[in-house]
Amino acid sequence: MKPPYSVPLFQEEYGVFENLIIISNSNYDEGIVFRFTPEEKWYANHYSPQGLTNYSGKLQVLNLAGEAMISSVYEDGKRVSTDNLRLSEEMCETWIDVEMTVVNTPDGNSYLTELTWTEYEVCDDVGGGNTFPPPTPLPEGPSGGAEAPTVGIQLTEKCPEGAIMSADGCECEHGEDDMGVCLPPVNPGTKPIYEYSNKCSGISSIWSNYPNNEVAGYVTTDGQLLVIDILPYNGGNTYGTYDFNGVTYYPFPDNTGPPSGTYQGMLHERGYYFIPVSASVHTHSPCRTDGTNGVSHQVGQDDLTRAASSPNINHWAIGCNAIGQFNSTSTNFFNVQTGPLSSTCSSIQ
Amino acid sequence: MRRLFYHIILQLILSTAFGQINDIPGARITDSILLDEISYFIEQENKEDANYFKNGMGYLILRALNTHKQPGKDKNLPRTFTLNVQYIELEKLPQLPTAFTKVNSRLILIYLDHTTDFITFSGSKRKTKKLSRLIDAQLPEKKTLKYKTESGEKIKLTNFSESRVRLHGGIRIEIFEDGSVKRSPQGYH
Repeated sequence: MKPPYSVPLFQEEYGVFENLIIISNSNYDEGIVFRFTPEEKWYANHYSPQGLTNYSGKLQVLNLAGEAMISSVYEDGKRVSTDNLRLSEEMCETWIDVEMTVVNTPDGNSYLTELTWTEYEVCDDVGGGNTFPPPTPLPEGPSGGAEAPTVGIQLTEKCPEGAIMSADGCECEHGEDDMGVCLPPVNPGTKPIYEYSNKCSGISSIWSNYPNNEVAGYVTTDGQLLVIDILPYNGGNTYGTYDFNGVTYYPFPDNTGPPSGTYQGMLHERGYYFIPVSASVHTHSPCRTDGTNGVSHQVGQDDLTRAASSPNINHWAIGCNAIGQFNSTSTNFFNVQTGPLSSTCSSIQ
Repeated sequence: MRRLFYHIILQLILSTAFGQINDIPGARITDSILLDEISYFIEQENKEDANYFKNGMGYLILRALNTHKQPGKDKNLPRTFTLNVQYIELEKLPQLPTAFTKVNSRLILIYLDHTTDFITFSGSKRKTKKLSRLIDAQLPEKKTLKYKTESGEKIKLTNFSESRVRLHGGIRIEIFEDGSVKRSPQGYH
């Protein structure tokens, strides 16, 4: 039996989410949602001088996926029955005992201030390994499978939609899925708007030429700059990266033509270019008027997520006479360097 | 087989005694002002990103910043939230959400920032699989691309998909005690 666990609650927490109280802690590897029904009764009790002491209704404990783990019925604040619905990974039946603490405040209101729950587990004493049947082999697609069809046969057949005839038979123009079905073309990115073989020239250029925009790009692994988006101050969507075999690529379709530069390690296969990149860069132009240097504030939510979406490369923000690096785990910039871009930009890699 | 049996029993219980349970969202926002603000934000995003967001791609992240307000105190302190569009998989998010919900059919992950003081979310892959599936439904389909290079080498690119990231979008919402609302762009802050 796990020891009882209590957490303090803040009124505002369920003031916003009303009949829901959402709790988890390190002892439990998932979030837990407490849901009270009927809601009207919960509201009434929530705001009444009696608080929850006379609560009658159902308390459901849900996991983050919305699945019920326990359902208890209360009458006049006392639990009268409990159904436990949860089975743990180890085939254990889990029982949860929940106690609620209510305090009365001087202003006449009552608030639920603490939840204490105790978790019991009753496990099967019989082991038993996995006896799931082995997966059925997937059927081979028109161009998939272990063996490619012979040329002689394929030349007399019509290739399925999305496939083209080659010396090896029908091959999907834009790749195939695991079932061997040809995929439609995807648009993973856009051809770089500008390319600079010298990243420092490029970074200085986007900073100087777009004072009223946020400009985004990538530094390639061989030290060049790809400019991929010029956005307004209030931001917008831009394109991400793709990790493959330990390398982060900026991918884009080749139907708009090849990049003007040549890039070490670039892949060009079946409609796509993949350029290896080592860092993302984007400008913080508003620092020209907001009195900051653009990297002295906290890292914004979108920048944090941007870093999380490409975890294997560096991420740099270009500010006013300052540059700074950020990642997804800290709200502070690090490796901040001040001075003209001509002297600091070599650090961006 | 025994484990499978238990899972079947569990499914039966969930689908009979609690028939709606599989459809219950993890949370439900009932604050009408906040709901109005979220609806307005979704409407604006639909206009600004007619090709992508409007077509159902992306989800929202709602972050409650200062829910430390105590009863009867801090009356002038607004409840503050940030709202952002995201296109990132659950597995890549730096932190698991506190809960999730849907507003106007849009998936919203909810973070209550102050709870990080005493709560650590470390859900296993198995237990967050359902939420992961909900998020993946808002993202471009992942594909496996199989190629053969000119030299004959077979290359298999797994989990390949259109990859979008958001740059400096989102809004900050402050809801005051009298019901008034201040809405401002987050910018790069």
